[in-house]
Amino acid sequence: MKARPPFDAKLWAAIEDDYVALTDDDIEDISEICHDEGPNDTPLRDENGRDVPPLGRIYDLIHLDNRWELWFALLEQRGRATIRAEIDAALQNSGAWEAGRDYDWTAINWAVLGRMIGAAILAIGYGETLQWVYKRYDGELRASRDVWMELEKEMNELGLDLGNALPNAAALDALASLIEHDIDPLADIGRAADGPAKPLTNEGSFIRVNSNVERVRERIRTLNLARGGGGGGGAPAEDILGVLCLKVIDEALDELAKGNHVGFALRMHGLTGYMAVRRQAVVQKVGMHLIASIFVRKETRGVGGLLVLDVANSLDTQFSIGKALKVLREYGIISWSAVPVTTVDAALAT
Amino acid sequence: MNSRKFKWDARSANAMVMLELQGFLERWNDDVIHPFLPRPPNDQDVQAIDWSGLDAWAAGNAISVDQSTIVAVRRIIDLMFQKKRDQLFMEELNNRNPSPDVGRMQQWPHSPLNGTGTGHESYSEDFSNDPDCRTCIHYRGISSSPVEYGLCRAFQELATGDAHGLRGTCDSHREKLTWKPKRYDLSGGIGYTDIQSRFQSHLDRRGNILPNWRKVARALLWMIENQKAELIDGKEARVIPTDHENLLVHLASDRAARVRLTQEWDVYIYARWGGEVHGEWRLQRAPPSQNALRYDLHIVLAETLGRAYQWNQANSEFREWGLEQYKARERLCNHALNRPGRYVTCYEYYHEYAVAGAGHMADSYQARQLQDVNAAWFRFKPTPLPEGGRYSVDPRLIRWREWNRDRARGHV
Repeated sequence: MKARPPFDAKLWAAIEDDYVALTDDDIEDISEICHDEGPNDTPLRDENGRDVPPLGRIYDLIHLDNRWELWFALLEQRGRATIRAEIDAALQNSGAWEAGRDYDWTAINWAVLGRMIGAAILAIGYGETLQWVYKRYDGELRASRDVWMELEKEMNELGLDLGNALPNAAALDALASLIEHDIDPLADIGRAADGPAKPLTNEGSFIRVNSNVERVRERIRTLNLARGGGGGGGAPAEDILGVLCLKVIDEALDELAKGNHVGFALRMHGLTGYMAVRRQAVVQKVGMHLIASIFVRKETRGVGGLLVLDVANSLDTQFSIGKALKVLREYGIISWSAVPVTTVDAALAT
Repeated sequence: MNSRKFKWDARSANAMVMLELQGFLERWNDDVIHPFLPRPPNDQDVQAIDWSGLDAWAAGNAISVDQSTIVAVRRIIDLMFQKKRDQLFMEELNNRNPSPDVGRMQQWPHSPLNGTGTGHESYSEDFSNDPDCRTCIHYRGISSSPVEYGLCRAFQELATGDAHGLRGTCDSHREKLTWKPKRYDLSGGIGYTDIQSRFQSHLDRRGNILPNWRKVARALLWMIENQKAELIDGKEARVIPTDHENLLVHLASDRAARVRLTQEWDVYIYARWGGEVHGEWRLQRAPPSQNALRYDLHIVLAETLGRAYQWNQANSEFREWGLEQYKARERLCNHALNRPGRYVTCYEYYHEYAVAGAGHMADSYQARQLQDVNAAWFRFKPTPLPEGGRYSVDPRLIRWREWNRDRARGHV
């Protein structure tokens, strides 16, 4: 590994004003090469870097899209306690049952968000004309979608909506019925810590549904209708669900950029709460571990960018890292830049 | 049926997870069983038990692995606990009525039939005579043989407004409701059909036992061997299976046979899902804030069993799984134990994950505590380079390591 922590922080401090954004053509080229060469021989994993005319020999660098930076800057400038209080006040005003619960609304679960993003990327790769994912990995999103649909069905039968508390027995029956369809949400939901992204919260004889999840579901349905898909109480098919989830993230980032950090945070918690079931190892690698690395290092140690070769070698996976990063960039999750090899070597040598 | 026999040697190098299971038994016996000898613990002993040792065991064993490796065992063990909980719940309904909330329910003023003599003033929990709300024209029953009770019972807390729920109308009684009766299985155990409904038949076309069934049977056998569960045949006689295949033979040939939890788990179920209501530990209407246990110990146990008994089809043997994370966390604890403040440096944190071949998990694990209450936490505090920061280590994980170290038990 070139810049293993804590030296990734040292490297970032040295290069944060010294990287060059790659162009769309650069990224198209390297993602194709990466795909053609295969995951083990991709130049992105070369310890010596790669040549990019006219930049010369460079290392690839990934870092968060600028819009994400606003969130971390806000936490630093105004403090988490202030942001927490603002979000709670907004929930009080909207009458959400989560208001006043002393949840840490600033603690976004980046690993679960990454799982959603990973599932979306794989669905996109499978659906592209020039396919780069050859097997359906939609189970991660499909299973979570089915959990919420089953709960909604149960509540409809009881004449309730998702804003009401659901009798414990009814909720457990609904979720247990999913096991027959190879979906096993009870363990993951049960062990989730109480907090803003917990899908279901136990209140003795009753279970409360995360209100932010329901708002995300509504938004997904609206986006699906707008693109000509089905509406009503149904949910989009799994092959486009990933795209719609990425769109929801994109919208939330736009809201953040407009100053609506409360809406951004609640949307993030809704998305992470939506992912009620964990299933596929490959999705963990594409999404959870990769995305978590970027966000967690940023949040805990202020490391704003990671060398792609370190990320790729650490993941050591068979998916096309170049293609995955390209999609992440297209949807505004990350930026992709280049740093001269000499700059990196000099930073790490001192 | 494949009749090969399999030996398990807990002293072998491939016995790391088995050692953790041994640790569970020691903790359980010390903390849950021994304090009450010569009698077994009962459902009212919840608060007399110090659960923190088992909490530490759970933190040490709550690790993130490929879900496909553990889901089969987890499903079945969890189902066994659900059945036991249902059984205890029904026993409670039958044996401890009337509930202290009857009067409150009868006085609830918002029933659409209030004052007619058939509204909630007619509410009763005396099942033997006049089942609750039967006279209400909108009655919807939740049936269970031999007991049936009304949906309004399930909705009681909502109806009385305690959960900030329905007010002003009795939605639980609306005619359009198509309530599916919840049928409680009073046997309290799992049988062949329970497993079959999840994994199909236990044999493939050639008569070989399918891997999921082997894993589940081996995990259940561990529970039986260690008196945590028992196999009961259709005539309610206890049976001792000789190995996991023999257990499957019993279950497949006697569809009334059950594997059920032993009585010592009652106190866990009350600790996890019960609460103190009017001086008594109850499952019914227990406020979750009063749960003595805030995590699913049985899920961690089930997942540990799942990792202990992975079926390797090629070699026809059980193998352990998820070992590298044990090694990484043990090494981290070893570093922390040598320092005041119980911390590891940033370099050590990432290095030990990388050495264990789990470098990609080092970052995501820091977020894991948000999705798993059992997951050990590592809290970062910045320090200058070359240290580059310190992670304080969850005391539960430290305690897990110390417990193992005191017993000369280690993975690295």
